[in-house]
Amino acid sequence: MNLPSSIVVSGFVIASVWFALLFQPEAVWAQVEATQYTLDPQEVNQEATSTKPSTLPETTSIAAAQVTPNAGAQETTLTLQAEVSLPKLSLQGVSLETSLQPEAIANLWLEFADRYDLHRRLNKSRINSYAIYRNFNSDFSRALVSIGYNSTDLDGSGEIAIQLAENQYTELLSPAQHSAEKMATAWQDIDYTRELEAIVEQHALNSSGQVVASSLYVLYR
Amino acid sequence: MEFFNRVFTEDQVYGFDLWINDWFFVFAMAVFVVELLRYALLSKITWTMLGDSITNFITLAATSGINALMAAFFYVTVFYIVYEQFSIIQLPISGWTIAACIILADLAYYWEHRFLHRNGFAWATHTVHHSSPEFNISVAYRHGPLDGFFPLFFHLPLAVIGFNPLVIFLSEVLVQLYQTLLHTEAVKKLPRPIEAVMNTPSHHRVHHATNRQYLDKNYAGIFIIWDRMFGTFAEEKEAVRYGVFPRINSVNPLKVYFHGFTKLFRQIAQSDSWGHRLQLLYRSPGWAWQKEQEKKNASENGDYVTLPKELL
Repeated sequence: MNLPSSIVVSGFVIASVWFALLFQPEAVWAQVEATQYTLDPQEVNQEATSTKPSTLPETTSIAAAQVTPNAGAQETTLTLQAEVSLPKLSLQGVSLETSLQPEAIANLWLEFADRYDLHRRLNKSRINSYAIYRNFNSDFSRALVSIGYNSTDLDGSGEIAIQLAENQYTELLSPAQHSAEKMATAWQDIDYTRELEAIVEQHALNSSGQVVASSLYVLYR
Repeated sequence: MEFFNRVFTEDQVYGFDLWINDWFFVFAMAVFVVELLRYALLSKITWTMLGDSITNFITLAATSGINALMAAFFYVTVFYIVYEQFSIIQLPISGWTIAACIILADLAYYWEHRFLHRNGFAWATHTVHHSSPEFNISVAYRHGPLDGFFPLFFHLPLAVIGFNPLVIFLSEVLVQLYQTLLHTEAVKKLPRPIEAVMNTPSHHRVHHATNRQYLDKNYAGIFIIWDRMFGTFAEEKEAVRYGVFPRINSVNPLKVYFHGFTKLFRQIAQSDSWGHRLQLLYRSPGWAWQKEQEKKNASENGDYVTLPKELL
């Protein structure tokens, strides 16, 4: 085969392989679409940062803040906290009554990352993973932690790890890329003098499963 | 199937890239030790072979340094700029995507490799790899100064059609590592189906040969099918003589590392026209050699060998 013919055949091979890749399973493509959605400035309050998001949400280190009530912080943050409505959340994923030490939370995220049965069932262009903290003990060192996807984002049915009705939440952090320090600081803005129903972390994921935006909400009783 | 439908993070791809790079080198060194023992048992081991091998690893260190600088200054950046700004789509990092990228990176490597042999400037760096009269695993690590530069042009189109740069880099590495193990005389021929589809030590020995019928053959990385399709395949039939013309007959690392560019610059300096100088940069080494012979013939009125048209 002469040179021009070889180049044409190479082009044909490249085009064939590339077209074949366009027919990958929908769940795989859903993650790319999620990137385009979550990076929409209308949807996400993009805080310009060149920090590369980690595979696991940086909020896995929030427990490093050890959830110490900070009355002083309350005064300054009360005026900044907005009320937002979150839809009904029925998480399918992993759930464990555990310590809030960073290692314990990180392990639970790793357990969730291994749930390929869930990742494959994703059906929506917008992908969010959630971490819900409930049933805190008296010194806030332990809680029932559930990590997963909302059932509405998944095909088929599965075991519900935790369910929260549609509610008005207090927004502690709006969706954006946040450093671990900022997430930890946001936990200190919770009013621990009030009874806590749940703390919800929401993580928007890109096509590679990396966190592109995180937000934090608290639901008081 | 589980692997192909799985979606990977950039961190996972990068981690695997680092892991395989490091551990493959350890594995290759173990194979090299076995090869040396084999040569010792066959009483074929020589001080020249050992010196040649040491030189190979010195060139590896030099090229690794140059590659690291290129990666830091522009190589990685260019891929990301093209992927982020000019790609027609962004493919998910799934097992399917990685497998497809390896196949296309292998095709890209075929063309890059063919270019390295058919372009005077590119050959000045790639000739280092071919200049060893030996053929063992250490020769796989014998690199020229700009060996890490040319892949940019041939793999960048993969970023344009939507492959994540880290997947492309991983594929480049896998294509390179596969070939590393082909640099051996210990393996004669593999079963026919493998020889038909895959690049093998036998096919790669032909590529390193200076036998006339083997010149500029078997450019493949992983799959020999590219050579079979594009008419650049040759079967190993007669014993192979390794090296380049003219022989460099040296294990001096500096001479080995720079002899290609030294020769090219000397040819350019001795040229009698700017047109000829330019042609030395973009035409094939075979063409340059042919012109030298013609010039010699004109001055000495002697006979000279004519290379076949496909080598010019």
